Amino acid sequence: GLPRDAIANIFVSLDYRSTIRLREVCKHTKEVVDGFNRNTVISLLRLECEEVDQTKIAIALNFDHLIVYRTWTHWINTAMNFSRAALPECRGTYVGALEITIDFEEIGKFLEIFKYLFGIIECDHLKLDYIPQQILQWCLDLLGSKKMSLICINIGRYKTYFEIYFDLIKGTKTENVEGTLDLTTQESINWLLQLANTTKLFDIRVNGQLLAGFKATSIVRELLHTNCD
Amino acid sequence: PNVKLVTSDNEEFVVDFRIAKMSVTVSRLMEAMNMSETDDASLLSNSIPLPNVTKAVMARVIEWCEKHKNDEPKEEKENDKRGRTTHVVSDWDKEFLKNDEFGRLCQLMGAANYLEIKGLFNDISQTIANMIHGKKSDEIAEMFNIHCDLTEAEKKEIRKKTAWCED
Repeated sequence: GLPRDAIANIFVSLDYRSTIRLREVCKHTKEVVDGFNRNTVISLLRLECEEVDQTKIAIALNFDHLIVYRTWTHWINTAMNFSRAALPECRGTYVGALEITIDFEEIGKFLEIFKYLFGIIECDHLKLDYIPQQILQWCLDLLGSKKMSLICINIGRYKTYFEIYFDLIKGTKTENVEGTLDLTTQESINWLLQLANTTKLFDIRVNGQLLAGFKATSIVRELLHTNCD
Repeated sequence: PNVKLVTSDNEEFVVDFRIAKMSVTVSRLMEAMNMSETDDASLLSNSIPLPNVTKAVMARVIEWCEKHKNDEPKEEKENDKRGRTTHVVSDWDKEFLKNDEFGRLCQLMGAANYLEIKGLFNDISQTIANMIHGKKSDEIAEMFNIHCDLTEAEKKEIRKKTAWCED
């Protein structure tokens, strides 16, 4: 077979549709396309929304290999029909990093593309900042059984979908969790304790005023009795 | 001055120093072996082993290098509307590669990759991409004489997963 760089060089010279069609030619060509992606590691997938204005979503993917970054950038750009004028929104800030900002209406199409690509690759770290429920549910469907070494979450003050976050962490068997959290509701305190029982290590920075009637020391005491290291 | 290149099947090729230098791999090996253009003795007493290239493929590589030894460095690649990164393959190169069946193109590409001859590597990539571009899966199979061993159910499942690309 051809070396990975040679395959990547053909893919970069080929439109995404023809590349994807190669998967239908025979088992071997399917394996060439899928194998190329399967060896891909995304060291970080970051999804980020503004805490208040959630009309746009920023997506960043850090790739382990420049050639794979080039190929994926090419596929995503063309599949999303990003024109050359729109390319500044889809750029690499450093080697191997692809950043895209898309409108919320476009997310459906992006996710369809991503579902295929992401279904066969590895992802190491996931970072979610102020993600609305709909996207969070998608993350759960997509990443549900993918093992991650770290999940970093910043949960907004008003939109707290604790159950989905918890299912995501549990499903990905992630033992390390980082993030920020407001302990302003009973629900958020319960979630913190539930998380401490599920993960080995976590680093949660607490924001805001503590819920009235609760003492920080009593929460810490409860945390010390959890399974967390 | 000439340089001796020895292939995996022990065939010796004597090529011009300029042609040898077109390969980044060979250049590095010559440097490591203290072979220089001005030192005939170093060139005569050494040969460059190329264990990943066969005699037949080496002959094709040298033919390509002979044609391109006086080329100016090329300005590379431009994205077209559909996002393809296109490398312009010259008429001579099209003619040079047109009779190679897919297996031979892959061997030649493997050698260009190993020898790090960027121009040849890009020519072959673009030629293969051009052969595949815009074709349906059965047309690709026919062109490369590939027997499709996927069942209809498997094909249906593949299409379902990548329906987004057929908009």
